[in-house]
Amino acid sequence: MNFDDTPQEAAFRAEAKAWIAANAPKQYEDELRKASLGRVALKGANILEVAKAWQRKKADAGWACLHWPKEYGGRGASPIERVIWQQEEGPFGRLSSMFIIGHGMCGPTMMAFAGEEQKRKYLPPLASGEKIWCQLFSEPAGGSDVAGLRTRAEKHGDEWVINGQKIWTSGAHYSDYGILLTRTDPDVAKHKGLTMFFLDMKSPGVEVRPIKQASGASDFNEVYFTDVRIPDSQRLGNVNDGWNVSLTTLMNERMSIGAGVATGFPELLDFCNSLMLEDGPAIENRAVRSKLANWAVKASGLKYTSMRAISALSRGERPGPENSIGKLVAGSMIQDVATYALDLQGAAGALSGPEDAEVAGKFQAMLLRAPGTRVEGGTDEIMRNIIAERVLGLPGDIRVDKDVPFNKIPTKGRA
Amino acid sequence: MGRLRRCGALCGSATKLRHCLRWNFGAFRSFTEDSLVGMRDVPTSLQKWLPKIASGDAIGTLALFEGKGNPSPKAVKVTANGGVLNGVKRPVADGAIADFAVVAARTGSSGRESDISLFIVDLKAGGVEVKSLTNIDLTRGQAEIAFKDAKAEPLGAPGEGWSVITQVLDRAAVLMAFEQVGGADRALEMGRDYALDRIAFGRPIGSFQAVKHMLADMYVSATLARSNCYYGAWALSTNAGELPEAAAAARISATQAFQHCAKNNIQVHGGMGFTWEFDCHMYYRRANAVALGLGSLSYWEDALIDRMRKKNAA
Repeated sequence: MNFDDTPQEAAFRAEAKAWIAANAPKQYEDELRKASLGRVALKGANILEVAKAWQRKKADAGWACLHWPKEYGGRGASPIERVIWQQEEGPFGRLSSMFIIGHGMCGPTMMAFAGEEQKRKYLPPLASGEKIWCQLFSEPAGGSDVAGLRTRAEKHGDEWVINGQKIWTSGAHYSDYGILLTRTDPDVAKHKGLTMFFLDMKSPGVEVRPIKQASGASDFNEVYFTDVRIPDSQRLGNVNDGWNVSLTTLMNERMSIGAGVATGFPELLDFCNSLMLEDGPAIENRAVRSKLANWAVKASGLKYTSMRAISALSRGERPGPENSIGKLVAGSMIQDVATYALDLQGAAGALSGPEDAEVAGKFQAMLLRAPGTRVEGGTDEIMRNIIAERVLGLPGDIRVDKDVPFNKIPTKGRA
Repeated sequence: MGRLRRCGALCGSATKLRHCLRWNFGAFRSFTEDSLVGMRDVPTSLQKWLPKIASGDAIGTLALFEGKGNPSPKAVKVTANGGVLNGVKRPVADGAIADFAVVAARTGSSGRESDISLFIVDLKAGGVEVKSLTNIDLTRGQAEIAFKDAKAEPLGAPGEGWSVITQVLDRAAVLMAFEQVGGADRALEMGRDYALDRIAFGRPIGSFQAVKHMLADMYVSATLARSNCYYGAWALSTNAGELPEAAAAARISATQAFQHCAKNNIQVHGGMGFTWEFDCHMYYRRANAVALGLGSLSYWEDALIDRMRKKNAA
């Protein structure tokens, strides 16, 4: 692990720093810095507009989607340069949250499977934030088992007709386009009958319904498809090869390292520094210190694990599945941290109004959002499977439905 | 050998059980040497020992603890008066095989850290009685050393003993943390290998999620610990101001990882893991003994938070 930049990296960092200092929307820096988990909100401004304006500015100056080729709206930068950019962009990077899926997953999938003309048409506006993309994979019948999805695509002439339902689609309510995984052959094993498309989210027959989450907020949606027509030219990859196409998408998700994961620890440490308990400052209490120390080493362990991955990137290596630990550790940690922050307050910890609760209700919001973190983008259990199978080389789960035609797989638990 | 390479060597040798004995001396010798050589001017009392340490003709140890409790100047009761020591140190790692000891002794009674000074004692000389003590780790000896008017030569300036001890503990913590990470890795590897080889219910037990998730969690602890250790090694090798905080983080993280992996390695092995026959218990014993030797978790947890606060206040 190397904590220093090479001369080229240092030059790139200086250039990025200078440009950010001259161009970033400084008026929102404080609010962005304080946002810890879940959606970022700005007082007196529309977050979507602010985010799009920042993305546009970056794109015009060549700072959007750094690792993409220039002809598709990127900069042709190296992976390590992308990480350096993320470090320098700091809190302003939080304005990119609605672009992450498009830039991190849809874009790379388009790059790998769309035609040249389509790439030149769709990718630059995706890079510049002018168009937002979403990823339509999960379904009520296919969450962790995404290959169990049931949305049908049937060929009618040069078009495909789509019927079915997607769920947990982040940002569908403000997206312009989406990549869509469908079932095209239910008579073969589940992984072998899938096909990928991209579509205009404004197509007739697409209906987006926000889901009200346990936290009360709505980040995700249900998306219904009723006789939605997609031209065959918008198919990504071969018919029935959609599973392999989706692996490209998901593999790119893991490349998104370096931005750092929220653990809640800095907030808890600050809180304990100022909190008074019955017998003195919380930070001087032995039990509190023990808890803090345990979370401190997890937070620093994650930080330096990510720096090791960055070092590997800098040496030209490709980050592997070992980076799955970030979300796994941070997800339950933030939940435990929030629980403890409330515990320290006794009965008053239950109050969540910004005017009544400590730190404007941040820990209460953290507590209510945290269960989602442990589920979205691969549950804790899926993350452990990935580590066990791909890092430690343990056998895969025994899959009883692997060689069964999809339409013969049982769909009910208790009869 | 540079400190950074020594970290790697400790980590590597800890992963091999056959090197247990070398591993045994490795860390303790390393940190004794490190702290002694690290002193600005080599005191004359030390000069005769250094070549012997280097050639392997002499083994040194640090005599700090006096019964229960974590490192604290208040706990030091052994007295130094007129060039002789009186009192009892226990436990002392490798005390029964050591040729000399660096001893923390009381030279004042003001109640401050400056009451403590360091001395070198030839353990083969008169007035020293060494007794082996049984301990949970059978591969690393512990002893009691009683001083009765034992001749002692001062090491470093009087009253500076505790500040040296604190630095020694920090440096030792980083080096020992690498031993712990090596042990954690090996325990994880043993568990992984057994889970691949052992068949139950017609399949390798490593294909059951209850088992593989346990192993995945062991990997997570070992990885976090390794990352904290690398940072500690960087701080140690560059003498960075971050060393006290980095050392405490490496120590806590590596202690937890080794204990976690050693404990669950036995669980993965089932009944066989609880036999004398299998090596699992050696890692379990070492993990739990090494967790205590430089001060237990509560000492380091306290130290870490203190140091983080100091950094924030600065």
